[in-house]
Amino acid sequence: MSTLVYNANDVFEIAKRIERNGAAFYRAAGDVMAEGESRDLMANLAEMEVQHEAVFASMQQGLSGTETEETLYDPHDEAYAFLKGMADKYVFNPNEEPGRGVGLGAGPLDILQEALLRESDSVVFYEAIKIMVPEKYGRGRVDEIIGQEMGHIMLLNKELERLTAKAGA
Amino acid sequence: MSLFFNPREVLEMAVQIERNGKRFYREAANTVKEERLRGELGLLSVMEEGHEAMFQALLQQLSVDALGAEWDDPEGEAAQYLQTFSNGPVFDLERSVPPELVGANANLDGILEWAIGREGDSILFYTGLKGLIPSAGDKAKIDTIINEEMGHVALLNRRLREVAGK
Repeated sequence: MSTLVYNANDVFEIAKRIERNGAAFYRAAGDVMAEGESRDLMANLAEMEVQHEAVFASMQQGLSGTETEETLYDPHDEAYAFLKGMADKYVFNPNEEPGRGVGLGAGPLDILQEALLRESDSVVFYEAIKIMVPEKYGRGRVDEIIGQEMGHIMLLNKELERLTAKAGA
Repeated sequence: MSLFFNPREVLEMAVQIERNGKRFYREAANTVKEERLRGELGLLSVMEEGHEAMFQALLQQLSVDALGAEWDDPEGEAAQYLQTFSNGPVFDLERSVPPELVGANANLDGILEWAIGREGDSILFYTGLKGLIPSAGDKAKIDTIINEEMGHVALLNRRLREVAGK
């Protein structure tokens, strides 16, 4: 289990790692998808995750020397505890590798289900980050990313419905 | 595909989410033998009841001052996102508690993992719901609930690690 006491720098590092893992997942997933439409979706989502990582990197670079080490404040300790639990699951668990869900035998429907889980976890994770990250560190930009991840959920769900209907036809 | 965009339906879903959660935690508390966890599950049930009451209050406010008329979603994005939850695999509102989780031989790991999943689903739904609500004060109420649900996840995760470590 991690022992980090989170400062803004730590939080952005975790967020970057999540996006990096997400991009790697979508690239691996694209290789599995047979259809052009599905492959394109995976490629687009991978690219968007790369952009998200860049946003978090930019926010991290905006931190001053003292801000880098300043412990983030969570008045109720709920978001902090939640964040720590999620980080342990995603960042410090060596079993949670980017390729999870794109193993041998994973088909398009499995991949889309896994992608939905990942995107869902990202949304809730970033909601926790938003609670703890002050406005001056770029909370508004986290909000934008949350909105985009929610858009990913809709895209993935549509694709899942399309392929499921096709499989049943 | 026709989309629902009826504030009443959305808030009624939120009420149902909390009602399902309350019932699950109450039944799980009756199943679990360990006293501390029983107490915690009982407390979670009470907290979900509080959330249910908050959403009921918003529903009543809808009736009284036509709050729904102010809800605005010009691109339909919030409606689409919430629609994902009403009939998609991300979240199944109709999914009842698996009987094996609250029966005599209930598996503690299973109970905790299922609860964590449902709490996460709640946060996802309320994140979308928040985007529709025009009033800053009401948004803040949803934020409080989201924060509390995160606390639930953190507590359940801690217990799950303890159970796994035994």
